[in-house]
Amino acid sequence: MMSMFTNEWKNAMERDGIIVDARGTLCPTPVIKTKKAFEDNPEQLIVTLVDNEVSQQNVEKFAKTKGYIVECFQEGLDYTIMMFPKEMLKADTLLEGVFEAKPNELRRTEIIEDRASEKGITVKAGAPVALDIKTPLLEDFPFPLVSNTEASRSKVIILTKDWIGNGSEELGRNLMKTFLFSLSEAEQLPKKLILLNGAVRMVGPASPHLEVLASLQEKGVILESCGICLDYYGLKEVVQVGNITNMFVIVEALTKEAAVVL
Amino acid sequence: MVKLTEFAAKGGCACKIGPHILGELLQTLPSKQKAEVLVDMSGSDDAGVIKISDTLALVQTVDFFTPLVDDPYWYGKIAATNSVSDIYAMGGDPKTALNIVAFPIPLVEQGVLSEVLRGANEVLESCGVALLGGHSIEDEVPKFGFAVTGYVHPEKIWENKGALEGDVLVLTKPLGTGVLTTAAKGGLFPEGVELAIQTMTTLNKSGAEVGRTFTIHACTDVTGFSLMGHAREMMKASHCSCALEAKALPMLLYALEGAEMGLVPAATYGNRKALGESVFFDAGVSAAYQDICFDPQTSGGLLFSLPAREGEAFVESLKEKGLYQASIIGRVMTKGAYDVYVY
Repeated sequence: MMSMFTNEWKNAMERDGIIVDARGTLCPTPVIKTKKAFEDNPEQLIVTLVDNEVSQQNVEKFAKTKGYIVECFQEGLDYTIMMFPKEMLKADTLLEGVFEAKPNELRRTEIIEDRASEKGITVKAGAPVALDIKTPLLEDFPFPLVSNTEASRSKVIILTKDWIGNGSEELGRNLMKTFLFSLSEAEQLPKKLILLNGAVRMVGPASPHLEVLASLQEKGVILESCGICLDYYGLKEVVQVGNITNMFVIVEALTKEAAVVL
Repeated sequence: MVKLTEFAAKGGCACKIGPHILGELLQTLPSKQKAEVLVDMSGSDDAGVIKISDTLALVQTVDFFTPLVDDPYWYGKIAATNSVSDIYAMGGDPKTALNIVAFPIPLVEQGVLSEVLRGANEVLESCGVALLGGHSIEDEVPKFGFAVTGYVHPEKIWENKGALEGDVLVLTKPLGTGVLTTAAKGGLFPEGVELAIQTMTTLNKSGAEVGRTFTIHACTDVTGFSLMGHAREMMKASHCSCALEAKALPMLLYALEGAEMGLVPAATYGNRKALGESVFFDAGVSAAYQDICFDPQTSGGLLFSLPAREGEAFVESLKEKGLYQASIIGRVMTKGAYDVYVY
């Protein structure tokens, strides 16, 4: 990360630099002092001297957010942070020869690259300054994130009977088991599962679907059964899983959300 | 007026001895000396718990630190709020406190300490804690805090362990107190600093009380080891990993701006050094967000792990109790190569 503090850099610092000596101070003082120097000396080379790594990193962060191009040199415990305003580099008034002398040691910013390419020098593409971390393995990834779950959970599924599809009811009952199981294993879960009319029997004590419905709920799917329907089938007091809802909520789901009726 | 922060290089929970330095040493200490000890330091929990009877256990913790704000009254308030936090994080109610004071004599003579005590006592009173006594010594750098004892039902202890795959993680208070107390020293972002003081003096009492009406699998408070450190401790103890979303993290106003301009306390770098190997950052997470992730919190919020289906209702209830920035910040998942993933 650190460059060699060659004589070219030293000359540039002595010739054009505003020196901020922040040695012997702790954060945030070096940043504050640098900030003041930036404000008092626009479009000038500012050189801040610090004597600890934290201050060096913080001053560098600050300079970069202010659009400066940073070069840092370490000598023992002391750091020399040279910060060039972009205007200065564009005006081409400084460091003639410095970039040519040590092209590979430069921080690779766009402007330096531009300048370098103008002069026919190849500069390697930017290396990340942030945390150096290992790439995770592919198998680390298949899990839902907050945004993922929020976004994908837009669908509301309304089940109107305790079997799936039209045609054979017997087949439909078996299909419901497969359907719910597949749904519980699906990568993108629905936001809500609303049970209407005959479908509310699936949350009653005799239902073969309790386990899978509970697992859907565990995974964050909201399970709601129509109250009037539960009343009709005499199940209101013995609901095994999920909440009780009303027609207002069901209508709202149909009109305002992406609802699928099965 | 005396500027308290000038007495200490690092303030608040940022003056903790880093986990990378303490870790090895702690392993050499004996643990679980008695059968009645329900929680000891082996799980990196917030407080120790010893069982008294089948319905009662004592929760014990100690916390003290150097000044992180200049006003002594607010220093006292923050220190007291922070000291009782660990009891709430274990699911308990704080009952008694003993004061720990190290202070320069001239400051005591100038009435600074009595202001600190005034602020602290206001907090203790508001959460029903009786101050039983304390111990004070002369010191060049002021230090202030409490040893606090509370009650908890032995079967209702919240620990770091217990988070389950599929759980959501909820954080009750905004992050960024480390950045903003650093900003305060430079006189920057006064509005942000004010909000930071407000959040640091918000008791974790109401957050814990709301928690008791939900299915809490695990809980801790987020303090000096940063969100990353405390989330990692929870995941390690629960044998899981978690995925957090940077954009979902609640933050104090100007915390991100502060981090961007380099108002980053030294402890942030220490936390990163200690935890870098266990945390994965997606390439899209900016350096400033990463710094907030490692920002040492003083008197930070509670981090809860609870079933996903209860997540939204829980956050709503927290907001009703005035914890307006409470948010779902991520999910618990199967143990991966890293303990914490941030996207």
